[in-house]
Amino acid sequence: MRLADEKSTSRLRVPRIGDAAPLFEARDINGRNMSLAEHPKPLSLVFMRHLA
Amino acid sequence: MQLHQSLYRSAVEASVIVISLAPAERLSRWVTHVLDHELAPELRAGTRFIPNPGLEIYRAYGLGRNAWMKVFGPRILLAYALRFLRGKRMPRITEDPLQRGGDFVVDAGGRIALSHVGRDQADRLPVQDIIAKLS
Repeated sequence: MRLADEKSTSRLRVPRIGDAAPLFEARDINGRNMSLAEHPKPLSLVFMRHLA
Repeated sequence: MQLHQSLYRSAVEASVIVISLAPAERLSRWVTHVLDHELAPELRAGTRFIPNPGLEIYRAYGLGRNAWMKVFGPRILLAYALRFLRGKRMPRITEDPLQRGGDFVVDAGGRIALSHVGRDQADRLPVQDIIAKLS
């Protein structure tokens, strides 16, 4: 399963400058829903690695 | 943290969305017990913290897993060694240490204005580069 995961993630495409930002909807840690489509912009998206 | 401090100092009006692979409870504890000790809460007032343990948002942004050597290779081991020598606490990792992180800026038109996925675990963009795209 782990090896399959590694193979499958190598086919992922990182959005490039000028691309439409992939949209998503999610719930934050305070339980509030958010939608990237409706969120005020410009914005910075910070994808963390593991927490220290 | 540097991003929040720089945004505040620069008076740049932009929001920050932080996405973590940690589950909601752990992320919430981290924000309360770690982040809030190092960053005044008012500096991150508009920030949304999004738990994404299922990695759907990570995958939508092309963020897969790194190779072992890029995570635990010489450059990273040196960074950890320097951290240890400076007396800093070594991180206890409970999430996938191979999961990649990244930085993106989405402009007012909903388009990617900046896209960065680190070559390895130590490779993050200078905050000034992010601020420049948000301004």
